Amino acid sequence: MALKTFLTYVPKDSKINKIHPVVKVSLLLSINIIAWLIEDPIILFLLFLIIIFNYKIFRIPLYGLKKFLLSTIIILQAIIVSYIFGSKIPGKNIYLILPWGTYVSEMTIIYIIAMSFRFTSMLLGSTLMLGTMRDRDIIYGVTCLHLPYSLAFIINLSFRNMGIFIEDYSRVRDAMILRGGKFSKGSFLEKIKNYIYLAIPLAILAIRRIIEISYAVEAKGFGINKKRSYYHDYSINLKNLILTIFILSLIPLTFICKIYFKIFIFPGVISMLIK
Amino acid sequence: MFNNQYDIEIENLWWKYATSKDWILKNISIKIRKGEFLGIVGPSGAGKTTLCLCMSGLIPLRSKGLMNGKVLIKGMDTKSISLQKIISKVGIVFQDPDTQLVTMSVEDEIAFPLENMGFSKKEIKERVEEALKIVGLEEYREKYPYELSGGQKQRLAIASILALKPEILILDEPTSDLDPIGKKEVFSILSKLRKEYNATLIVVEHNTEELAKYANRIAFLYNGEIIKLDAPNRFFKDIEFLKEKGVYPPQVSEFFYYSKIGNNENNFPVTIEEAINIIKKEINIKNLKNRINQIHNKLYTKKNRELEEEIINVKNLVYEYPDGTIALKGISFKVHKGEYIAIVGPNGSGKTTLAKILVALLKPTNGEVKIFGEDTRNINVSDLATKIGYVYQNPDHQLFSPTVYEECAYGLRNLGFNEKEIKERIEETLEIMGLNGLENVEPFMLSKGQRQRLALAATLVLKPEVIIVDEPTTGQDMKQSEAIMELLNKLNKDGKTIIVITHNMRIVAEHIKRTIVLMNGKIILDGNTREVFSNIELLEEASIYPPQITLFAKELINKDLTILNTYELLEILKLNKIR
Amino acid sequence: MNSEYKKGITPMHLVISGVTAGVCIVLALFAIILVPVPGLPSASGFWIPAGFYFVFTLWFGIWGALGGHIATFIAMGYFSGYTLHIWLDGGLGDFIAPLVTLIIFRALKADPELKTKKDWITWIVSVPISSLVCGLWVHSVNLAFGIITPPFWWIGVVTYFLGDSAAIFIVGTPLLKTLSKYVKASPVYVEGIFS
Repeated sequence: MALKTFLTYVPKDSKINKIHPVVKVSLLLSINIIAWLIEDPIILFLLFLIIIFNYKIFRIPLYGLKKFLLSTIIILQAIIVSYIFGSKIPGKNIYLILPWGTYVSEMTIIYIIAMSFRFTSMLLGSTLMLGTMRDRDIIYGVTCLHLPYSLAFIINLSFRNMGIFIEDYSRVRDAMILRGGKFSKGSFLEKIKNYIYLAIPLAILAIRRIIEISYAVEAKGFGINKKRSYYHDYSINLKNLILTIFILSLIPLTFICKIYFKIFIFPGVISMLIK
Repeated sequence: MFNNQYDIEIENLWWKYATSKDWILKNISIKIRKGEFLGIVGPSGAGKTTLCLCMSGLIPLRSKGLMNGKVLIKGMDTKSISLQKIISKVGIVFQDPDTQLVTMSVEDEIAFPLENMGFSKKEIKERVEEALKIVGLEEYREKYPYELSGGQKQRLAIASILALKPEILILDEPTSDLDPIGKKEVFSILSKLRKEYNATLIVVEHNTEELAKYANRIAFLYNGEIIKLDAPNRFFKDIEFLKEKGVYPPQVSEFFYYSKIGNNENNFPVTIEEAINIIKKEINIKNLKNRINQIHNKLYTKKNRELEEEIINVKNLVYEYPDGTIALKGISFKVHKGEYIAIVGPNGSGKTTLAKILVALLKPTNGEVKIFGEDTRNINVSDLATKIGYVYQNPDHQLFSPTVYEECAYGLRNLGFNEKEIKERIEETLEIMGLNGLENVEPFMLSKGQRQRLALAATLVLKPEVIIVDEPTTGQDMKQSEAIMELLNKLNKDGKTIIVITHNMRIVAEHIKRTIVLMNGKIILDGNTREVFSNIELLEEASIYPPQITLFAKELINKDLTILNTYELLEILKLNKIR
Repeated sequence: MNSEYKKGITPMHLVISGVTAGVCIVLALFAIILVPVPGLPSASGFWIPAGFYFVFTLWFGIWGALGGHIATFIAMGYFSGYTLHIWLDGGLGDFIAPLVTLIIFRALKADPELKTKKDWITWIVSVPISSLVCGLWVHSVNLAFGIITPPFWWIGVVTYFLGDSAAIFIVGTPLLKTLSKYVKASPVYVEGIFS
């Protein structure tokens, strides 16, 4: 049986469900920053493989990532186009010289590959951690980190209101269509005009909702006490704390390796292979 | 000096918001005893919600405005104590459950106010269990609040407040947005709170029949003032006065008023049981047996108007939503020009889905729907605009133009009408709807009743042949409801086909000739309203409750007799002639 | 007016952020693939939510901007993953930009109802400034993460400037003109930056 999480479905007995939200958040942060620091394509490729491997270990279906396909393609094409038309990375072979002075060498292509792995590692790593949490776990995680409860409250409310807004949007749009309004046909200006008309009742509905929700939460004592108590146990045990510290310490370690020991820089291991 | 027999004491209360020109509450004085059930009724805009906010402390502590007079809660002046102290004594539940539920699970929702007030984890756990038990939601504890039905959501909203164990509970129109099942659920909880916990309850309601059953006193708020305050049996005696001011009295009370039976001040009935007890002493039903049979036959053999051309033909209609929910499971019916039809059924029965299919917003999954002979699969929605109009329950979903004039002109311009004709049509329609003179006003600045009429006007201006109206009287006071129904009646007399989706069986019985009952996506009854309301058991399965007068007549006279309104019963019993 | 009324930051301000974020998340999800710009990630040729959260910021102060920030991060992350890059890029960018307009409006005491010439000039000038600031921020982050190169940085800034400004003017102006009066009369209006 699978649990519906924020971005995908996770088997109920997957070990990822046992990882404490604070550990997940620290992993998410570490993967992102480490991927950002590293420029060596081989290391980035290994990082990418490790993350994919973890999807297998935790039995998270990779097809759940298909929603990122379009955006991934857009970003990868951005990387490709940027570097091909706008970079000067010296290499042994120059394949293309452009009129404005930039050129394409074999190192340009390797750098593109490195940046692609950087981006996909960040994406996959974040999804592995964040996307396998249910929305209530995200709130739980924020609270565990002892961030102000107001942040958790705002995020909570935003999730709740998404669904309500979509319903409002559908109804208003339908009401306009029922009176001859066109959203798919007609000129660009006509369409824009209709969307602007749509914006007005949606904004009014949102404002009225704000007033009603405010009264409701105030009537439940929200914001009265500076210190609130918690129903669930948000404490973190020693094991998880040590794990968190270890994971986060990888960030400065990577930084030190890069700056002082010149590890993880471009082109890194590849240059030895090319030689 | 705190008088401990009163939970709330209001003395000469005046209130106006910072942005209002006039006083919203004017010289209100009332004392509410411990354990009392006070009902508050009044037309829309009377100040009922504002009064509730004053009694909960949210006014003046969380609202900008000017307050004169005093509101004492357990002897504490709301102007000089903290909201924290008030919340532990008074809880308030609002109309819309969706705006009151802010967490991710049922039990978190109940724990939310306790966490806010800093209760210990142990205490929170105990109170959560207790509150879940009171409202009967134990098996739903892990569910997301949005997964609950309307009635369950409102029960959860009540549980969330109950967790704080307030001695006083204020409920502002708690059942307005709910279907009949939801309404029953909420009143059942209130009855339990009263009996088992001796809670002080203050309930604002348009549904006077339920209020009359439970309330110790009812207050009538009109134009910011309490103009009547009495026990239900005395309160509802003044039927004409109440109706004129916009309040629905219970039908049995209305019946007794016009029949002039039992004019004893202390004996004026407000419930079916009371009415039966009184009337059986006054009238011998057996003596009227022949007359009853005569009128019964007359009512049932009344000649129906001849049906005109067929304009809607639904054949084996099936609709499945993308998530797999089958909303309609093979329904078939026809609609002829000039018919006046009610579509009723519990929430989730498929009423709104059916309406959307009739206006071609949704296309059938299987089966066929023909509107004026054309299959809806081949029609664009906007092409149907002059043939079928659809008016939603919430006017705010249908008003999107900068002025009243522009709102009415929107549809006409889309359909290519010239400005001269647009102007003529709008003038005519606004006159009918009582909105003339407001052409340049922004729609959202109008009152709710005016916005409702504007939403209807914006559809009527297109002169559609068929008008579908979804819940036209929900949340409305009697006067507004009657005005809307009179308008729909007039449109029907002028030849328009009217389809009304509603939970209000009283208006169905009093105004609408044909009723279709939906349950679980199927039609279980379709026919003359009287015949439909004769099937009590089947209606109960669909959680449809005929109007009070219908049930009263069945119990009093004969369960095979189906009366639709007070006047029919008066005629049958010859009560306007007796005495 | 009643002195008991609690001034300062109240739960209503948090509710504003939550509700406006909910609205803007949906708009952002829709707008993200509406007009993508080849060669530039996270760039939409017509960023509709900007029209809303700029207006929300003028009405509700920093709480409207916070709603926009949360919305952009959640929506962009839904398509592009919840990475540090996305948070710093669109998320923070869409927090800073409306605040610039807000600060200009409050400093010049301009009215969001756009009644006078001064109000209009403030609006017409502050929006492009904010869009420029946002474009500069976003594409500097993209550059720092190695997603684009310096020549494309300029293209990105200009696209953002044009795309955001267009959406804010087209969507935001009618909202301000039509609804500011109503909002100012309601209890949710924030006169300052925080309260």
